Amino acid sequence: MQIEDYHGDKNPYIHSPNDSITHINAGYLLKQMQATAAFAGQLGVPVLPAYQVRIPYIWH
Amino acid sequence: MKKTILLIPPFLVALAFIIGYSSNIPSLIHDLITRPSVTKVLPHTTVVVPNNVVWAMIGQVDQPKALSDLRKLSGAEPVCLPQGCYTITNRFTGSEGLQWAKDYVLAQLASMGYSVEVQNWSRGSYADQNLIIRKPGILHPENEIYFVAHLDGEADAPAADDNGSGVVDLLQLAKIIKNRPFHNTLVLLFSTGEEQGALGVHYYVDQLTQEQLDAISYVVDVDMVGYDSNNDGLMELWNGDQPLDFVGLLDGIIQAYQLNLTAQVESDCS
Repeated sequence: MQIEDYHGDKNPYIHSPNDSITHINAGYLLKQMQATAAFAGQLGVPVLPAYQVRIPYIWH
Repeated sequence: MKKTILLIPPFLVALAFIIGYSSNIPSLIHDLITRPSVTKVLPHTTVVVPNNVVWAMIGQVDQPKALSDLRKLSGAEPVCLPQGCYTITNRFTGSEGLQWAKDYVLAQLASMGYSVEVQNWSRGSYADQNLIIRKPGILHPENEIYFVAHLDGEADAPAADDNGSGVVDLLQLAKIIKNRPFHNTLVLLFSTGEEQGALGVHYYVDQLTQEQLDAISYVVDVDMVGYDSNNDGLMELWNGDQPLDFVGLLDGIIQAYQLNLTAQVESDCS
């Protein structure tokens, strides 16, 4: 088992009333969500439809 | 026409290779269809070949919906459920606010079609619930990949970043994976009691059998993913004393899909 814990910059507002939506960087959150989707896709290994099979894979 | 002629011979060679060297064609075809994308492991960063399914998953992230969920979980907007509306001022373990947050997450997951396991836990003077959903793998259900985000927060905090951001991240993931088949099992755990010492997660792990523990291949904990002080896209990977190959794989995924994040390994979790 391998464990990873990831997050953004150290947030000075956490554990305080200022940890509000005001201090959320929407663009950064989007990139993090995209990364989570990519991690899940790669680690979960999607079952590909047959039409996506690439011939070069047979050489690996 | 010339291009067509030039392309055919390599394909025929490949076909001849398959027929000549494989005694089990169905097995080979199966392997071709389901082959993982990771092709080469380097000492630190793993080179990952992108595939179209994962690109599509990335494209399905719904930012407006995630921000709407985050506003509700952090009290910027009321949560409205069949039992009424409520403004969540905090999500402290055991609190009414956290109960509304759990009910909201439950409703979201149920609307996606999930059957949600609600696990009661108690440790010392604290008691609450974890929410768990599973998407069993088709080919290797015994390989489990966990994504974890804590749903609770501190008593006087709306807890938008810590960790409403991780919760809406996992809600997006739940929606994206719902109707896609995967080799491995994906488990999403929304825990509580984190601010008191990861009590919910400890309870969850303690009740697993050794066989269930052995089934866990990777655990990805998503915590505070909504704050970037200087817009540099830095993504801290808190590795602890884990081997660096997992970090390298995550970094490889970030690079392969051009996610415009810069992974930085933090080995000291203290």
